[in-house]
Amino acid sequence: MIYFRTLLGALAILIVFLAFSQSLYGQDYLSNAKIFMDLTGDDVAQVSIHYKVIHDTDQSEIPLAGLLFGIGEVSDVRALFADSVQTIKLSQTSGGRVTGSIAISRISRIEGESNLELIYDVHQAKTLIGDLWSWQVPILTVMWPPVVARPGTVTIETLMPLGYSVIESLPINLRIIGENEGGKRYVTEMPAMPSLVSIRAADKGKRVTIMGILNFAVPILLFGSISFFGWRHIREPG
Amino acid sequence: MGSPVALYRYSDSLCDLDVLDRVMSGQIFIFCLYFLVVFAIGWISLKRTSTQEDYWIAGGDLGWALGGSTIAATHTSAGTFLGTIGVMYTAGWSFGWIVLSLPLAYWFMAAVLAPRFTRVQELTLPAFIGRRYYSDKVRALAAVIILVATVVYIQAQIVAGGLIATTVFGIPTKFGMVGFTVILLAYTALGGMLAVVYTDFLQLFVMVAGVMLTLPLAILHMGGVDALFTYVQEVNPHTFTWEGLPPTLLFTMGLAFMLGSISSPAQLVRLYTMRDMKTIRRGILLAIIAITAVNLMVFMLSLVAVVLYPALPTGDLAMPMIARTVLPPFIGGIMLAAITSAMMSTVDSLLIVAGSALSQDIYQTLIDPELGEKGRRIVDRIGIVVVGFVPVLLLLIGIGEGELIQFIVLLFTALMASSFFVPVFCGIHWRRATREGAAAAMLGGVTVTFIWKAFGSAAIDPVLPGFLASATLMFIVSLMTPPPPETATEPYFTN
Repeated sequence: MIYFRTLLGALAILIVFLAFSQSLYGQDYLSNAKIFMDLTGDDVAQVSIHYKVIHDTDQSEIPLAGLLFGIGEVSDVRALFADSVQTIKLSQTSGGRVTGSIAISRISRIEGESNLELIYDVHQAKTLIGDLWSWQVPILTVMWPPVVARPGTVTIETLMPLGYSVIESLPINLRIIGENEGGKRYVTEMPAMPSLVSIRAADKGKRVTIMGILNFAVPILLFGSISFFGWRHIREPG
Repeated sequence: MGSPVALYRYSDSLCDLDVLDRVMSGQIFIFCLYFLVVFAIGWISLKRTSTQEDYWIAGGDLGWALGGSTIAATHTSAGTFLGTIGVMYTAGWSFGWIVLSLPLAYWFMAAVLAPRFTRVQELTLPAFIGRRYYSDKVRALAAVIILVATVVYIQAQIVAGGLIATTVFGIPTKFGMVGFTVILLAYTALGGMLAVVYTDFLQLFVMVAGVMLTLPLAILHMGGVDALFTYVQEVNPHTFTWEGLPPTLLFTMGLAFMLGSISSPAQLVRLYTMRDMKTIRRGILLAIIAITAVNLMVFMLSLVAVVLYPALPTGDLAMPMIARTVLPPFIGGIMLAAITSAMMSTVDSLLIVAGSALSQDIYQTLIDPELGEKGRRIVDRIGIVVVGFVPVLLLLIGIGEGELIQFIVLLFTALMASSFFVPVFCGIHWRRATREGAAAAMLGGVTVTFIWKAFGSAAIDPVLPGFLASATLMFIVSLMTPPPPETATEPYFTN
């Protein structure tokens, strides 16, 4: 009986402790984001990000941040609310970190779940590296965490010029969903905001990459060796 | 410059395509293949298990490769793949110095504890405590502490499993938690320690392969190591400073990891699974190399997450995000299987420890000592299933959510260190240690750890006050009570 009581006592301590460890407080969140990128221009990539945010504190500014990754320049940054447009000024460090904020003024007051759209241009986004074209597009991120980080919280849709095939990308898994005279449309989704979208494409048809070979060779080698050694071990007596 | 939104609009048909893509994706294929292999191992182990020694300590005849792998895999939990990277994402690299305490801990285990601890082969840690401290009551007390602490720890790992399921498959975290638990219970209850050892070997292999593939690919995306360090410095200038966590907390967390690794019941019982001291020394050397290598690679991956995902809701998501978005599908699947492996290899070991505490040390020792062999086999498996479902049930009713995984891992480590380090160490190195002293040390250590966690300074890990209380009580109470009988100390002190 004494052991049962000890167990119960210990469990009670555990439950009290765990109950104390809960933390519930108001916070601002990102509900979801849809990033649109038009890469059909020769030099300028146009970016539009539809943010759905949950504003649950008395914070008067939405913080923005991004990293230029050594390439390009971000300009013409604007935030669109339902009834107003704000021009956003960014400050930049020598290492390429840009920061800014969207003021939540009386005109553009947001409460609960609200929509806003962030628009900007990225200059010198497109470069030729070897025989591949590379687009590096820094993403200006609302520095509020997502409510739930699951696939689909952030979607990225990209319009690529006709005649190009995507060879590699970050994030991975860009999938083509349509093509017309305006360009090819690729899409992917992810659980949280990235700081960079990077695409390498060829204008002379598809090709096999080292990453592509690794992607198939590694699992085959791994499971092949597991099966081989497992089978040998099973065949041993005992 | 006009808005690009004017040029085209978001595709409405995206969701349908997306579901199909995800179902067909390489990551899910790799996951399913991996679970099939794990189930196969559970089934094969069941066929090779006939006695209780087979079930609880894999027959006590393992070689160094399997023995070392199972120690390394058990140590490398979701705490490493989600928790460590999560803390580093949030607080910076200063947390990384803790890895230095791990080789020291395992050297201590091989050189100082193992030679005497393994002189009598037991099935569980409480069985050792019961024999050395000549008391079934003290044995049961150890078993109860293991059960309670294990619930906390398994919860942290199951939350990790749920997070992976949400990030990868998009299913609710709770479904993921239940799913992982069912898979774990299936092969652990079936095959016992033998299944755990074989799957640990596989899981360590997958973990090492996973991080070795992920790290270069992730750094390649960043443009090299130099560029990565520059970007990290820009995004979070505190990453490479000591400002992220208070120095006292860092020091005491290091102590918690060291003492906890030494005195974890899941690790101590592994010393019984290997055939002799030479095997144990070789196995632990392998474990030290594997643990250090995996940790160092994980440290580097935390930097990639800082740069690529600056606004994650919790640092614990950093690694699944890298696997999901940086790596090509099949390799990403291997990395996610590695994270899952880390969680599973730790939980299955804890299920063995907690299940044996419930079945061997409480039920079969105190309630029904006359139980036959067939009945014991059934009770053993029921014990594992019971201790496996309690943490999930607590989580499902909302108890135990909310903390960073690594901090739950630290609490477990502190509990193990403050309750078992002193009784085990004194049990084999201090003849005068008595059962009353051991009971006081365990209870005092656990109580002070809990109290400090709830009400003490956050700048000091609870392990320090808990360990000091445990050691003090052991010495004072042992000296105040009659010395232990010769029969209790003789196996450990007579050459």
